[in-house]
Amino acid sequence: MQIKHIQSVFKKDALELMRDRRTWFVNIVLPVLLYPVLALVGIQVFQITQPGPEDLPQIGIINAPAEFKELLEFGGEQEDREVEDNKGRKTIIKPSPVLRIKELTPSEASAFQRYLDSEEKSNEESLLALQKIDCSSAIVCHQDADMLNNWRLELVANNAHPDYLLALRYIRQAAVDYQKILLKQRLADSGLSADFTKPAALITNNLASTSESVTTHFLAAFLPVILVLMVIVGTFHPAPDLIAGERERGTLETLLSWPSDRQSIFIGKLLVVIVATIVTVLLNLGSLSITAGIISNQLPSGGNNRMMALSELVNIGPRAIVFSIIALFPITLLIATLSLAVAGLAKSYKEAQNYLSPMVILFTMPSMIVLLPHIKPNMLLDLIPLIGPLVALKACLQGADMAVMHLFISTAASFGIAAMVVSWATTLLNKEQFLFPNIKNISLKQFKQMRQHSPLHGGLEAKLMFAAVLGTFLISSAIFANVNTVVMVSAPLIVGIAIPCLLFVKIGGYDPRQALYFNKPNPMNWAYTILLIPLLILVSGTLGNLQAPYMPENLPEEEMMRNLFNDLTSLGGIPLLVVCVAVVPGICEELLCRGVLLSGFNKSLGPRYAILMSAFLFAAMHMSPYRFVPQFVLGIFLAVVVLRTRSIWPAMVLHFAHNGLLVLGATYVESDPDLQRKLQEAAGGDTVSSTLIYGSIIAFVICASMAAAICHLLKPPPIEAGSEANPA
Amino acid sequence: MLQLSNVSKQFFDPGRGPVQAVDDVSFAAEHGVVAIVGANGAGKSTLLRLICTLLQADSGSISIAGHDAVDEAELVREKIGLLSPGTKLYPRISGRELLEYAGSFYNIEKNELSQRIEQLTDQLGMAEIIDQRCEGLSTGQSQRINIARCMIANPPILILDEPTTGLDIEAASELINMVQLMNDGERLILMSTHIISEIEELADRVIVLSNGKVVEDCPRHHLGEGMQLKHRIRGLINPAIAAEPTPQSSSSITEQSAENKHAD
Repeated sequence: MQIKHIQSVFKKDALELMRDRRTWFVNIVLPVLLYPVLALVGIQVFQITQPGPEDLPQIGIINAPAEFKELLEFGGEQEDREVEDNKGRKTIIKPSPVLRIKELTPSEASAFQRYLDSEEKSNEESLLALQKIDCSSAIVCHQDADMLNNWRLELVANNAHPDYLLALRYIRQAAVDYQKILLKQRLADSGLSADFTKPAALITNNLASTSESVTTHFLAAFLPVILVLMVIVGTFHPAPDLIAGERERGTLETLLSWPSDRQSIFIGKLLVVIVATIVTVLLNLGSLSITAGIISNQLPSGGNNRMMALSELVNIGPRAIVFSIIALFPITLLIATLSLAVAGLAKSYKEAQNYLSPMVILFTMPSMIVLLPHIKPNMLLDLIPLIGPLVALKACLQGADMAVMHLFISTAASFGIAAMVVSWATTLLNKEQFLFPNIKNISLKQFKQMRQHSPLHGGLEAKLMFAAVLGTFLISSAIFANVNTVVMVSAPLIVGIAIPCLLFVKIGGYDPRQALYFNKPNPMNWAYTILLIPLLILVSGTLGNLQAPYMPENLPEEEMMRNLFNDLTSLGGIPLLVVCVAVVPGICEELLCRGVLLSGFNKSLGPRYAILMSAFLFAAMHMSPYRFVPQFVLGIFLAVVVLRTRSIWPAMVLHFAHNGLLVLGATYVESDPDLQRKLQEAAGGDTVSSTLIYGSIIAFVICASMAAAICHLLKPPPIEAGSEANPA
Repeated sequence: MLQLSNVSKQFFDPGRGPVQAVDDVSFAAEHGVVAIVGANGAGKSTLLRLICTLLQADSGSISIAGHDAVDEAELVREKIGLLSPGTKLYPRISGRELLEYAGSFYNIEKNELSQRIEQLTDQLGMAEIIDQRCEGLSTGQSQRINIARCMIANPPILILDEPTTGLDIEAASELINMVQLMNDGERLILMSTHIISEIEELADRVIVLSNGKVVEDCPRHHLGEGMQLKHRIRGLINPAIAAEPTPQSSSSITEQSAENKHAD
């Protein structure tokens, strides 16, 4: 990577982008003008659609008491409000009517009286009557002639009328308020206090300001999602233009013929996308804040409740601004890197935009997770791209403990993921198909023709195989779920994983020595394999200790595993337990991960990516976030062993021994409460001690280094003629 | 300077299926103008793209000034200026900005780069167009900027892949003059073409490709002049019509105009 070349690419692309009218429109003019224009249109529409007195829903009343009539007119109890404008002038606002009330004449009311009195209800007559008086509803009021003199307020309504729902809301409120008034009178008549009917009352004392409350409940949830949308808008023009657009304009070949490494070129272009996006987002935020500020200044404070909430909402403090800007970097970095890399696969600007369209959903949908009320940052979420920074930003805005630390960790994780994408994109730029896409644009027939020539499948087939095996594994798990525990554990692995892998190699006509590494290992490798067993167990164990502080207590999957081990032990003792949880997974998972996947990725991507990809998929297929890291590290070591020895057998033995010894150890500790207690004491009791953490880090580094050194000693077997045409 | 040993390249073409674009090609060249001649699809462009590291050979090796084209691709690219038919200019920057951008990838001091741009502007008669945005330039003017772009680092090897494609007679003639100007006796100019007049005027040596194989590699004067040169080359490309004189006179070996031909 050369800084000078990154600067050159950045400078030239930024200049070209600035001279493109589309950039000005999408990244500058649109964000600046969008919100004022929307606000202007919104205010106009709001004012136009405000109902006049003649547009209010009309209802008919029959025999209604005067107090109830007044409540109906104003939608419940309303008091005069004192409102202060931005110049400090105070005005009294009288409540305005919400319904038009029509007192019905006896002849108009007769249809409703008949409807209520008759046994056989005739809807049509009442509907016609409502239509005639132009009302959605009519309220017929009766006072019982008994001792209590209770009022019955019967509503006859055309519930298909467009005004019905709005009218019903005000009628309900008026009825509830009228009931309260009558109750108060009745209590007073009986010499009782108005609180007689409220033996317990909730009195809320809010300590935080409305602004703080709005920030926690509204802004903290929505601002991260709004940021993601703004970032997407910011990347949408530069990302397709800088690689796909350059290819379309015929300048990419020239650029790639100059003496620069592909990484510098990609990073230079990425920086342009990032800067353009950040400028767009800041303009968006600035325009949004200014527009909202202007609107809020126009609104009287302390007026209508909804308006007050809006004026408080726009009060984005410096804290929110600082955190939003910090979070903007990882979000932009991730979206810009992925967008540029994906858009780079297209042959033209338009095609690149088509590729980016589904990515809008891909980025927006996960970001919605921050809308969940109880979501809080944790170490696992921090590592998830996009979601980590968004959840951390939400926590920062809510002022949660450790939120800033989570924001920085998730930012670091986003940098790591972006670096991986840059690395992938660089590999892509180095491929000749990238510059000349037509030369490998092959038909299915040609694909078969190519495959027949090759004794080994490629990365694409490996990925498809992983997806297929995941499907067969889940289906067979469902089929064997209700059989006994031995079948439930082993059959999905054999039927869902091992058999499809063997069939894939057989039907595909691939060489099992290359596709599954079915080679006899060098005899010395067995000795090194035995040395690796305790080291890998220690590596997994120390990683487990390091994860312990972040693991919730009483994990359901731990309980499930414990039950499973007990069932298997009761059915056939320790040997059956070892066969089911160590031998069968050791064979089946190795056939898939270190066989089909590793060999396919090795052919397409080279050993480094093959190791990482196969380990990632190996960890992912266990479907447990808490086992992911140890399984990923184990997967890396097993893949290295296979590639160094060119044989799958040592990895199978390692996998079997690793699982077997860990399970035996856990079962032994479980069976001896005294030992369990002693171990817990040694580890620092219920809380995880810092000694254990630092000890585990040191032990992990030592064991992993020793394991890596032993892996380095592993040697491939001597190549016999025809044994391996394409050695790893 | 340039050494190719048993270079082969195969790829899948959607229209033609598996194509052996370059088949066991070996040659060495030090300086002068070497014309790579062949019909459409003979492998000329593929061979030139292999040399300038845009493609990688399936087998064989390419070495430029002692650097391997695969292992030391960046060093190889430093020695090369490439002009291919697909090459376009950046539309929204000026010729000067383009030359500054191109120069920034080579180890050239800022002052030296400015001097080099002025020198090329004078040499190639670009004073009026150098500060104009490239999107407003004619094809001939664009080609001049392109040549200047190739020459910005004064590379010892210049690769011109059908440089007169799409140019009118005047612009093509100007370009031939420019190539003559650049042929200073020390530089190696590899030029793919199927225009007889270009071969006659420029080439010191001719390498004829047919179906990816070298069928002739000799000094240009060994192939004769004028019609004789044309028939010799046509015969080498397609032995079935060898030495059969045709009454029609055409400047192109493949009887196709330079404007409507496709790149290999």
